[in-house]
Amino acid sequence: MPVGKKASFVEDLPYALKEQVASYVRSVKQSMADIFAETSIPYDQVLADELLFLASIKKLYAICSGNFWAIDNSLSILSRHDATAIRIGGTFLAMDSEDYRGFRTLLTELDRYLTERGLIERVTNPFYSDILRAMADERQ
Amino acid sequence: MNVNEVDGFLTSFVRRHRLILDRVSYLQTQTLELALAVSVSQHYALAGFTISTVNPRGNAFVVKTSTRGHPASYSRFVVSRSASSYEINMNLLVRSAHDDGIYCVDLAVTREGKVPTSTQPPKWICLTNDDLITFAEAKKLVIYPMLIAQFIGIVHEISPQFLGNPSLSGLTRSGHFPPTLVCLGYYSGTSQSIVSSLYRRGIRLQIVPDFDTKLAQLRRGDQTSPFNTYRSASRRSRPI
Repeated sequence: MPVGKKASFVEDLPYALKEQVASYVRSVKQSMADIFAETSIPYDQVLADELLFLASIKKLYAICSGNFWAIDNSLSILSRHDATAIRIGGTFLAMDSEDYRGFRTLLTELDRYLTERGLIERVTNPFYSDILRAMADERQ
Repeated sequence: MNVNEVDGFLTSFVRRHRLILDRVSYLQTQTLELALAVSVSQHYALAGFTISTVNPRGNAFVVKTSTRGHPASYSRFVVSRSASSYEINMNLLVRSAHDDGIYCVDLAVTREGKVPTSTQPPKWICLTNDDLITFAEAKKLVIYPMLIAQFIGIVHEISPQFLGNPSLSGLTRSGHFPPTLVCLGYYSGTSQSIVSSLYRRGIRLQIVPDFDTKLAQLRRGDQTSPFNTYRSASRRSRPI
């Protein structure tokens, strides 16, 4: 990965989501020295940039997954009590609603791609030190 | 990882799904409050409670997204274990612990039957402070020092019993959690050091950063409640 390269996909996100991803990546960047220190791996700019790129994917995945999780789990719990829809203001969400299908497609497609590329474990691993070790091992 | 290839795919992915990502963005605050309620219900499910819902009309779970409106017009969860039952209500008005002040909390865990299920008289004003077990707030923000101070202030006004070095063993044995602030953002500035000092100062509340990543873990089968973070406060605290 070229040093300093940023994730291009973030620029195409809706503004609010773009800000969330960028803010999250900044937080990981601020912790970068500690992450390297925790692994005893000498600081390496390419690895650091790759970790920041992965952080942007983690946040995108979290947004898509968290959103779908809330709606799908609600519908799933509610279906056990004969409730089949969620109403949020003027928006109706049900398993056959357009929004629900769209949210599911979003997560399914992202999940499938990350799984195919062997990235899903890293994207869902809560510990950056573990991810950094895996990236460093992969290089060798 | 082939960064250029992954970036290329994700750029195309974001462009193809721009409309639905706009919907995600548009509904994010309301969905966050729904996620808060559902994940709290899952916290109780993991603690051995059975979960049910009460819906005001027909087959829809109606999410209360503001301070306005009678709680009977909106849905709630009921959680039960042995002889104990509690309700999870959204955007509920609660009486101050000190005076006649009334506050609206994003999520309130209450004793069962204390929030009316009908809009019939007498007029309902707010929940009695004694009937509030615990509560949670959700913010689509990074965690900054003044946000923490504001939350401590809310706890002071509504649930001061969580300040002053109380033991939480009875609370957690009952399956509950201390007042909790969940955020979509991370710790900014000096906020993490403030949060790290709270326990030592006898302040029993939780701050949960990057709540959506916790939800993603829960969805993938993680059996750890996002509302038990105070138990692992000394573990690794790297942002996730």
